[in-house]
Amino acid sequence: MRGHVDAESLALYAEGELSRGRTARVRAHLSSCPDCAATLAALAEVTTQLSHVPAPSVPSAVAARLDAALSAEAAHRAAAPAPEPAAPPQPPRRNPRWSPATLRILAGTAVALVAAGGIGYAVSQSSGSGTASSSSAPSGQSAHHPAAQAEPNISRGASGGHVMKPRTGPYIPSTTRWVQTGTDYRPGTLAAQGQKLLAEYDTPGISGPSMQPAGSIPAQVSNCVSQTAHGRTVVVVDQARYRGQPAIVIVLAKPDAAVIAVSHSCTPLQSTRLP
Amino acid sequence: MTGQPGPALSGSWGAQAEPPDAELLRRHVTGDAAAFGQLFLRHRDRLWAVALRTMGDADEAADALQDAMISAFRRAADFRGDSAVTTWLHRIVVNACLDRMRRRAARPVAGGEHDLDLLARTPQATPDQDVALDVLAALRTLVPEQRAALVMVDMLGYSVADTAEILGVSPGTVKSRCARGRARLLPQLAHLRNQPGVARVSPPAEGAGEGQS
Repeated sequence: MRGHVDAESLALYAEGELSRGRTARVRAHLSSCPDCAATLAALAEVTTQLSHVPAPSVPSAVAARLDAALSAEAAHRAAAPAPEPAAPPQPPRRNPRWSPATLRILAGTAVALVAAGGIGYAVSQSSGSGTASSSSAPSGQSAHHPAAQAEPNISRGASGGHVMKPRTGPYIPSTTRWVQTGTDYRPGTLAAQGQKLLAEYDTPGISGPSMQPAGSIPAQVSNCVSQTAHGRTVVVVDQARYRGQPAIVIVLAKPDAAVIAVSHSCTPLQSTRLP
Repeated sequence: MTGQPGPALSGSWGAQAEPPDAELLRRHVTGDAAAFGQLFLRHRDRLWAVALRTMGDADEAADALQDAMISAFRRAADFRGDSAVTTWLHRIVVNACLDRMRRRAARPVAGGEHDLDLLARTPQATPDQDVALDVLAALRTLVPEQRAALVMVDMLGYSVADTAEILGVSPGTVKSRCARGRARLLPQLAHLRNQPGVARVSPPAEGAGEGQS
């Protein structure tokens, strides 16, 4: 090797970071060059010099500052605890299947106020007698009912109103009659009004000015009906009023014969069995 | 962390009855309000040394260490245990320092010698402290990546393997950064060198001779 080896190469040589060929050439040069050997020794002494600088301890001012910052951070966390990673993220809730026990509890209290998919089934099943025995409280009170927590399950329709998501594809038999009678259904007379509706329209071949072709029914309405019927046979659907408010009244066929009033946001309002 | 005990990273799992680092971190994640403070205090001096020597500026080092501490506090749940807790803490601190230095490098240089070290506050600087000041001044001429590697390996005694894990680079990269850093420091520290065979670094003998131990 001609000339001297630069300090960086010597330092890399000392660390074994040169290629094999270059390592051999540097080693051969060092054996015959006192200057480069001295440089190599001086490089080792740099490490010694660095190691002799005393390690600093944390100055009290810095320690106090760190303590204060940590206290503030801990207080911040205590005030607004971050979600624990141990807890699995909550899956988005949709169309929960409530247990029969839960449904019975709900049905026993404020049955008709429950806003949840498929609840109409429990409502009609638990209404018991053939009379309008269910609660007649306005749907506005449903917010006070524990079941109101089911609200997030209801998706927002394009119109801004609540639309129940159909659990499956909407299934409504082609024999279902869609009418708009303009009737204002009342809590105390729902069963009787439902029977009257049934008598008028559950006749094969009947047609009248209030009848609508099934294809003209808005998806929001048909989805809600399908949701509420929950597989039971829908005989007549009347887009009318309940206690003066726009509502959908659904009459189910035997053996599940019942009248169910739901709001346009598909909130069950009242349900009663028919004999 | 590698099996070989690094000179600075070992010791936290000592025989004392205190819970291990990982246990303290786990307690912190599960809501123990005191666990993180206990963990951080355990390593604070070493982390401070890394920050101060890497930054070369006490104020900047304090800023970086505080940033890193809060970051570790908040990100504790991300710790997966594929390295030692100390390695994880060191990595956060070093990264905070390098981030600050890169940002500082983008700005016009401010400040001069005021920040070299608290060593200079001693009323009568000993010859050793003079040497230390010279070494620290020379260290500041290195690029941040070289400086961090050299501070950890040569100055603070971390193993190459530990340093590589902390810096997130290969051991070979640590070695070459250290080698290049030493080569760069060599001419700046030549005047501090003793005669061969004397291990202790002493200042150049000017008038006062070489009388100190």
